[in-house]
Amino acid sequence: MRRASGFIPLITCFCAVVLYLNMLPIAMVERPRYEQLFTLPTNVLKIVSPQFKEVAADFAFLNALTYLGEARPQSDTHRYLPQQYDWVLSTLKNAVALDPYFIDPYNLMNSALIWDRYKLVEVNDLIAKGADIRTWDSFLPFFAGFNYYYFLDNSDKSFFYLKEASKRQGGNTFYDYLASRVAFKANKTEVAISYLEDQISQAKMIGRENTVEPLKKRLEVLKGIRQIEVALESYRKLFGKLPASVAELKTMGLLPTIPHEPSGGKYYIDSEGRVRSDKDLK
Amino acid sequence: MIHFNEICKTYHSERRRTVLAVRGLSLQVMRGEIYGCIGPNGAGKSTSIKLLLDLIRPDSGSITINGLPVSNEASRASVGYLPENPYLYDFLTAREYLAYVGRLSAMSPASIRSRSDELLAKLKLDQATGRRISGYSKGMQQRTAIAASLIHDPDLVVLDEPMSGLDPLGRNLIFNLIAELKQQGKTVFISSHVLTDIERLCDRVGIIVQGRLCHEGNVPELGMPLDELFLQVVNNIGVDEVK
Amino acid sequence: MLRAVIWVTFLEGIRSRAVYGITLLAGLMMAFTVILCSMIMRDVGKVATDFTLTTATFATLLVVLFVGITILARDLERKTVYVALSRGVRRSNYIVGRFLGLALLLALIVAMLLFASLVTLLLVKQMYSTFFGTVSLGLVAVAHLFVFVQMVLITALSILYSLVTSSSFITFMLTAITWLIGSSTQEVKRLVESTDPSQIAPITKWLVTIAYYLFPNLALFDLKSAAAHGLTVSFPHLGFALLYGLGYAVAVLSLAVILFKRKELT
Repeated sequence: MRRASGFIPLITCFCAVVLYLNMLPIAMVERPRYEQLFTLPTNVLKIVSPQFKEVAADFAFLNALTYLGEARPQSDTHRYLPQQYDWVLSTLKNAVALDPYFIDPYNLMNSALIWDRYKLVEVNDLIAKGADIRTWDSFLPFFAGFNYYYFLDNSDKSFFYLKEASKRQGGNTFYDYLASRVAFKANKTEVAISYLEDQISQAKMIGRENTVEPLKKRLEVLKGIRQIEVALESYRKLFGKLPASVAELKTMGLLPTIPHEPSGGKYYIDSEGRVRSDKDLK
Repeated sequence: MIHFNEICKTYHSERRRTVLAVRGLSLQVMRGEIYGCIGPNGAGKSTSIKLLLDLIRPDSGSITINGLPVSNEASRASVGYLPENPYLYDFLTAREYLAYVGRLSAMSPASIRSRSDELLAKLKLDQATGRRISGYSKGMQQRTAIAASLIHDPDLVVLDEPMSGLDPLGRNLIFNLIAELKQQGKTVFISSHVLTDIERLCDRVGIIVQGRLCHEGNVPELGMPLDELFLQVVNNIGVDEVK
Repeated sequence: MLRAVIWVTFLEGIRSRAVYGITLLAGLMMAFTVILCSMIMRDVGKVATDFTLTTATFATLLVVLFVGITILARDLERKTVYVALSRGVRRSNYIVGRFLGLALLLALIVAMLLFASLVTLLLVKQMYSTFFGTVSLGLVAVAHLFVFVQMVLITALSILYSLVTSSSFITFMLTAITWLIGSSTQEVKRLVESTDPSQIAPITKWLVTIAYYLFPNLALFDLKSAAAHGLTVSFPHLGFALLYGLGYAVAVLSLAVILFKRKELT
């Protein structure tokens, strides 16, 4: 009897631990998503993070990065909600305001916001500003230059930044090549295809295999668009008007098969005669 | 050796209340004398000692040690002070502490070593020298403080309640030490409650009540036991002035 | 005598438990840096430098707040100050000795942190050589020096505060608040000057200007960004910051000495 009573504290401890481990996650308050979508104004952050501005910038960036990883995109378009984009942008803006030399927030803006065509002008101007500040680095002027041409139709600025990128350390002949294409107002889809091909080879070279997949998907989409564009050009030359649909190009024999859209959407021709994917954000 | 001349000292406590701690104290201690300073709690004994060491400044009057005003640091070069509570650095060992105070008194490393060996042995601390003071008992701390006050072989020793917190053995140790100082011809200024010790040790006593020297006399000529005299003096003052 | 005070101050610092705790914390933060770096996309070296330098700043600030202030306040509260002053040590010497002892303690801790930072950064460089970026290890060392200068200045201020106030808690608060204000006065001044004058009350502008000149401008000693990105820093700027820090510390210390000379140590 006495022996058994010696186990009582042990058993109590065991029960307590089991209870604790099971109850604690239940007791955790699940906060609604919108509550997390709040950012402090930049000036407040600057003042309340004395001498820790750089670390605050690092955390702001990591916040945005993990948020993008965790937040579930809308299932129909695979895109985030507008308020989610807003939050990511203001967080990244805080990061670059706290440390304007920090490249990663610009990088994330470029990969997460630009290609989804979210506030293109504002975001790309920020990237261009980063390119101006980071005088030693060729990535940001390269991104800014490409975006100015492909998304914003600004070939002057695009040429300037692509030239800048080729001049800087780490710049290569490809940037020069792209700059010359821009100068001759080459087809945008072609420019984008070469841009993405370069991005993929770069990512493979520095061992960032995980970033290759989305780039490849984008490249596939663009290649499909390019294929249709070529057919569309012939159609216009032949008939002097725009085809009604992509299918018409096929029935006229200008397109052997309708290219498969890798993100599950369909290609279409808009009223101005541009080929797009319906999964593309307007 | 020590000369208090018409010293007045007022403390300003909270709520603008002022406390007259010492009022017009004049007192002289001769070279080679053991002077006992007794008085009830709050009579101004500790304040007088702090004034003597320039830790606080008098409102009026002057104090000199060996003819030097106490505002001059050199007046304290040959003074050993034992505070009422042993203020020690408890992160040091006894030997390190003695080395520190020795260096404060500008002693050479060799003399620091020989003096601390001597004092630690005399005060029966030689078993504990390697341990930090934080682990000492109250009596050991008191004895360490005494060793520190004597390390630079001072001519004047100021002892504020040297017997407090000591067991009878410790008391006896201090008693012998003071007797030894007397033999060496040092001047000793003791403030104490323990009247029997004062009576046995001192050449002269002064009774301080309410910040004033009320009675002074050579111990052999007091005419009655010290405790009786003390009560008589304090009671007389009490009738007149306690208000 | 001065050397004895310096020695005992240094020893008290080294033997206090708080220093071990802070060192442990700094070590953990440095280790965390290495783990964190795996989450960064491109500017790994920059983030690692931020974290090591922030650790250095934070750890030395903790040493000033929890060790430096305790040493002085305890000295006055427990009356151990009597030990030196009853032996004819000049009061000015005592304050200067305390200050230099704390400075020596800070120097040792900053040297240790510098070593840890360099080891961490070299490790990160080894692990992510492609993404180490333009971190300047030389500037990392200089940044540590300026962390030291900054903390010496704060130590001088904490000595002044501990003589003015009666409790170590108030000293702690005043020192911490001074550090916070000093770190952001430059930013606030810039903000006030860049906003539309009609939107700001003149009194605000006035107060900000006073605070800017009264409190130490600690942003001058912050070289994290320069070290992390290998930016060029001008030598006149560094020289001025050094002189400014030491000059400010000496001025504050002189004031502390004057106060201590008049202080009643009841």
